[in-house]
Order: sequence, then structure tokens, then C-alpha cells
Amino acid sequence: MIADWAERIRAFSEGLCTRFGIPGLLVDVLAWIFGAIFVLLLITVVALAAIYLERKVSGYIQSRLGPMRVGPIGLFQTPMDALKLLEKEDIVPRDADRFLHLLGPVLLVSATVMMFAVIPWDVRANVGRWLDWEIGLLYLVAVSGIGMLGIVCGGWGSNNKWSLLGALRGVAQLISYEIPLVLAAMCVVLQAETLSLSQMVEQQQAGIWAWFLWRPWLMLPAILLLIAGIAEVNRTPFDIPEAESELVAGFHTEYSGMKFGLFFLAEYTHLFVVGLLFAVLFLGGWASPLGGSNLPFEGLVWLNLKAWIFVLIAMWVRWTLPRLRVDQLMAMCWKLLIPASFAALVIVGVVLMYA
Amino acid sequence: MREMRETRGFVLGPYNPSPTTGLVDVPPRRRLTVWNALWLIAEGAWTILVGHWVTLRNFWRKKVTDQYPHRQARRNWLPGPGYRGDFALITDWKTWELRCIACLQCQNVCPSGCIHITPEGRGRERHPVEFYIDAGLCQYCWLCVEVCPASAITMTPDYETAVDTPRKLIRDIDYLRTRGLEFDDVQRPLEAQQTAEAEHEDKGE
Ligand code: SF4
Ligand code: SF4
Repeated sequence: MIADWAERIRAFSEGLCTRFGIPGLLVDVLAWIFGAIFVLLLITVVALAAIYLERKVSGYIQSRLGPMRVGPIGLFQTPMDALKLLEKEDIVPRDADRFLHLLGPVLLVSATVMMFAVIPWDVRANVGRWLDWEIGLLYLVAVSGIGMLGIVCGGWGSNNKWSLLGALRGVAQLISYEIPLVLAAMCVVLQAETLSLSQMVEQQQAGIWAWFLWRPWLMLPAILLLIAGIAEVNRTPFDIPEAESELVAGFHTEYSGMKFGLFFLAEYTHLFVVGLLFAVLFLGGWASPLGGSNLPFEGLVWLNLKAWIFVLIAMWVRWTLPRLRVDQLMAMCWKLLIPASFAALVIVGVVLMYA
Repeated sequence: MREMRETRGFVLGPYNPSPTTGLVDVPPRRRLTVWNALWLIAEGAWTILVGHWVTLRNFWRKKVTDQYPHRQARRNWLPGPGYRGDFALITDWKTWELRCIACLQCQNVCPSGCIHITPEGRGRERHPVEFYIDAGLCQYCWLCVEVCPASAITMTPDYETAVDTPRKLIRDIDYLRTRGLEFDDVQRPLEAQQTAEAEHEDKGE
């Protein structure tokens, strides 16, 4: 899907260049610009949908209706809020490091966007193209680490103690929770014997019972990935980097206007990407649960459906559980999740060796 | 076995120091064995599941939101007695005159100074010709209602008092009279309030 579009965009910009006599050197630049616009549109739509969904889910869980006024069933509430953020003044604290202050949200968003690159959207989309990397999973995990830098930049550059504390907490949390996340993903790698995401999906293609989720030895990794994935995106049971009751708003205390919007965008896009990752690793990615994927764009629909189910579960968790304390959070990761994920890795290895 | 430990400073909750020895009874700490740890994990997982079950039930429950200006779940709903809504001047049920004797006590007692009365006549003939209440200044302290010797002024339970200009917040005598006539049971909140207060005082609180 993405790869198709990448080619189409390139062809389009080549056509523009020949038509208007633009030097060939600019073809790539044009393609990048159009590609960036396309990706920006995509993540904006995803983030807006996720924010709307979050508001509705939180409302429903609290016996409210959520947004209802702007547009039919409140559909335009989130776009209007985004517009409001766009037109707001961008305030930078006087003693802030302006460069780092700007770099924070930019890094966070670009790290999240880069994660989209290796997601296998459809059966025909990526196979045999450069996006279908052999090391797709490795790339995904590596790139998600860049987001951490964004949080540090934002926290340090704001010159605010709350921001700095939030950033420190955020980094400590992300570094810790990356370990169970990667180890749980490694269990799937052991099972699939590949790091390529599309090949993992191909092995789960046969139908709903071929999903890795149903292998008994992969259930523990699935739960671990769910928990660590929610922690990776700093959502509520694990949202100590922005704990409102302690740190005002954590690392984005000093942000306003569209920079704040970018943090929001990154959070929800990241959530969606982790959902995509979960769907690819355990829920058969673009493969139809009925087996066989023939209709055009069918894979896209299935993958989105599965990822949104993950997003819904993350929201359900968010509006159920209270926030953990910092030490509880660390204890849970280092004393529970990491031993459990190592145990899961050993179990999967032993089972696969003798089965 | 329960061990005894000496208190240091403040001890809250169930750990009450014994008045004679100053020692506090501390429940023994559970030793953290593997089985204990596993049990704790299972317990925690169970509580998390229960919590999710509660939120899921609420998710499917009928919502309590009343989308008020669009539609109102309970038609013509009014708040309970004692609610301090819009002002009204009460009309006498025999003569259809305002009860107000223009004694100006409410004007004098009002801490915000938002009542302006122009009295006319003497003795029994005394009555207000103009009676302004600036609802924009009013703090709804109920003092004017309390002080009135004729029980002539009160607040209705009507809460839909929004206007489009501040000028309209100044209620004049016609408006107040109409309000009083509209709410023919307008005395009820007042009386309910007084009864409640009487009961309150009877209890000696
Ligand atoms: S309720 Fe309003 S009008 Fe009456 S005394 Fe208090 S402030 Fe004045
Ligand atoms: S206290 Fe009562 S009777 Fe006296 S002027 Fe005010 S409303 Fe009229």
C-alpha cells in the first residue's frame, strides 16, 4: 500500500518535472515533499480518529456520552480542537533552549512516522520491494528508541523542573520497558524464524487458528507485549512521564500551540503503530481470519481492524487502572516483566526445539 | 506470632500504641517466597480483571447524560425546594396586589446593593411603584428573602434565566410580578426552606 503510493508519488513528480522542465535533481525533492504530505495526512487522520475514539470510550466507561455537539455525534470535535491548536500562539519560555525545545516534538513525531515504513499493509504492498526489509522488526524497535530522544530534548530544552523530571522518568521507563517488549517480540521471531514482518504474516495466513496468539507457548509473550506496548506509549497505568497530579504535564508542560499538538499526534500515532505491531506479530497482520485474502484492499481493512482492536483495549485499560508510582512501575518491569519475558523466551525455545 | 515493636513518633491507623507499655502491635511481615510471589501476581491479575469487568459493564450501561438544551430527559423539570433561581414578587391571593409594603428592608440589607425601590403612599397605602433587582450583581444570598416582613419577595426554582444583554438582567417590577404569577406555587420553596430551617433549629444544631 505505502510502497505503491511511494512509486505513484515518484512517478507523479517525475511527470511534473518533465512537463514543466524542472531539473531532474529536484525529482527526489518533489517526491519527498509529496510523500511527506501523504504521510502527514495519514497520521493526522489516524490520530484524529484515535483521539475521537478515546473521548468516546472514556465517556462511555464513565456513563457519559462523550463529545456530542460539534457535528453529528461530535465527529468534528477533534478536528476543531486540532484547528484551535494550530491557530494558538506558540509560546517558548524565555530561558528555554529554543533549538532543543523545537527538536523535541519533531523527533518524537518523526520517530513515530518512521515506524510506519516497515509495516506490511497488504499482501501485495511490500513483498519484493525495498520496504520489505529482512530486519523489519529490528528496524522498528530501533526507530522507536529515537522517540526517547525527543522526550529528553523537550524536557531539557523547556528549562522547567517538571519537564525535566518528566523526561527523566520517561526515559527510565522507556528504556526499562523496551526490554520485555523486545524479548516478547523475540519469542515470535523464534517461532517464525525471521525478522521480516511480512514473512511473519505469511506464516499466519491460513486463518484465525493459524494466528501466533493461539500457540499456547506464545500466549505469555502476547500478554507481555500488550503490557510493555502500553507502557511504551506512556499511557495511563504507566503515564508517569506526564503524571498530571505530580508533574503538571510532565515533559510537555512548557509546550503550547501546534508543538503541543505534535506531542498529542505522536502519542496517538505511536499507539496505533504498536497496535499494528501487535496485530502483525500475534493477530496475523493483513491475513483474513477466514483464510485467503483476495479482494483488493482486504488486507488493509483486516490489519486496520486488528490494530484498532488493540487501540480499544489500550483505552479500556487506561480508563480502568490508576497510575502506578515510579518505584512500583520500575519494580513491575524489573521484578516481574523482565524475568517473565526471559522465562517466556526459554520456554518458547525449549518447546520449539522439542516440538 | 505477633512481634512487638517500639513506637517512634506518630503511628496512624490500626497500629495503636498500648497506653501502658507504649508498644505497638505490628502484624508479621509475610516472607516473600516464590509461592507467595506467584500468589501475589495472581491476586493482582484477578483484581485487574475485576476492574476491567466493572468498566466494561459501565461501557454498555445506559448513559446518564442529559443533553439539556437539545432535549430534556425529564420535561419541565425543576430543582428541589430552596433552589435560588429567578426572583419573583408575590401577589396577594385576594386583592391581586403585590404583598410588598415598600419597607425598603431588602434594599438596605442587600450586601451587593442590587435592589432599588421607589415607594409611594403612606401607611396602609404604601407600595412600590418601581422595583429593580439587578440579577447580574446579586449573589443569591437569600438575605432579602429572609428579611422581608411581608414575605413578599422570593426566588423561584426557575433556572433558565440566561439573557443576551446585561441590561436584561435588571428585573423590573412587571417582570417580577409576572414571575410571581407564573409560579403560583412560588411560596412553596420559601416555606420548605423555612420548615427545613425550623427543623434544623429544633435539633439544636
Ligand atoms: S439575594 Fe441578591 S438581591 Fe437579595 S440580598 Fe442577597 S444579593 Fe441582594
Ligand atoms: S423587604 Fe419585602 S416588603 Fe420590604 S420592600 Fe423588600 S420586598 Fe417589599
